[in-house]
Amino acid sequence: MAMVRRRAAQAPALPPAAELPSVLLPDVIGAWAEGGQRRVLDLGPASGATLEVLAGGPLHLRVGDVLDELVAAVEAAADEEGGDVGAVVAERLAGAGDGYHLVLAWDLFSHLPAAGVAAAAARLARCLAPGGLLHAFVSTGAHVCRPPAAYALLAPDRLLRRAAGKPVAARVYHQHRLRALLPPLVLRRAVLLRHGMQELLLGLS
Amino acid sequence: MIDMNQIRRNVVRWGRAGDGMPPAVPAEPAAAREGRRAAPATIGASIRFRGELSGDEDFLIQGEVEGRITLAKNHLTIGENGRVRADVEARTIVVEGELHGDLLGHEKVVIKKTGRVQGNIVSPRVTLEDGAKFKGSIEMDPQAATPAAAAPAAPAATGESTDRRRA
Repeated sequence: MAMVRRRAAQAPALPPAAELPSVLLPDVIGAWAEGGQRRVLDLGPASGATLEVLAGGPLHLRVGDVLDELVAAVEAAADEEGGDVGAVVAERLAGAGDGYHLVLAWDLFSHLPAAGVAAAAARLARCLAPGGLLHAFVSTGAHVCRPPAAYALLAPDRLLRRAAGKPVAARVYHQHRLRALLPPLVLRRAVLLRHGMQELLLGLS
Repeated sequence: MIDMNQIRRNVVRWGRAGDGMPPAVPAEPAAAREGRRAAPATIGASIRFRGELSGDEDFLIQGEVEGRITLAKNHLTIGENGRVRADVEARTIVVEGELHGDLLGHEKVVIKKTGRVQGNIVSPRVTLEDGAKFKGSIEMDPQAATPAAAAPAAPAATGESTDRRRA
């Protein structure tokens, strides 16, 4: 993992509060059938702006607000001899539910060790409905802020990212590494944004 | 269980004790009366209540309530100092304080920036102000707003248990 951390590209850091474009979400939200209920799981903290953008029709939104606890618990398990990262992920996401058309895991993977990424991907795959998608960002910068940043959807193509806390070394995963860790999720689309941020759309294989 | 209708009837009856006396307050034009909302019944900051609370008038909670709250045609505010552990049903629900429980709002539910809610919300319209803390699920359909007098709809069964410690 140290090697992975050292390979971090030196992209300029994002300011604590910054707007990010989303290239991939407009197609996802635009494709939702009129009238049908959309089911969304947001692993981050509650955001009224996100709720407003998603609430164009019948909506079931589950707000997990679990990222901070999940990341801390996974890191502790990974550092502990014999720690079971998979069990920690399963416990923290036990009440997440299933059948979601969209899972928002906006600032998760850059905080997790490889075993945590694999365990989270496996668990979150079970949250998706057939055809459902997981939307995420990963950072290729050297640092991320802990606790994970809070995102708010301002429009289908625009997010507000607010980071607070102290910078820690980012877990940097390039696409080939992610592709190996993600199954049963597969990378459907990836777009490189500014500040070394990469936008990902994952689906079931 | 507190029956707010009974309390209201008693207040009216006591008010009639001085029949024949001129009214203490000049009659107010109906239009003016309709233009403002009557002051809500209040559970003050020092009050702790456990049980079932129901009635036909607006309610403000600044104290502690544990149990169940049903005000199907009225407005409920949980004030900044209010702490509620209850399933709540009302026409509109505004949370400025703390609430653990499920919310059914026939018109809308608003969680203010000082509000902290753990539970599930079912309502045609839900607003989370910037800074509001919420953990749980929101079931909403902006097109399905029903008149306040309509029969309350049962919360939609999602097949999920409410685990308030985890996602």
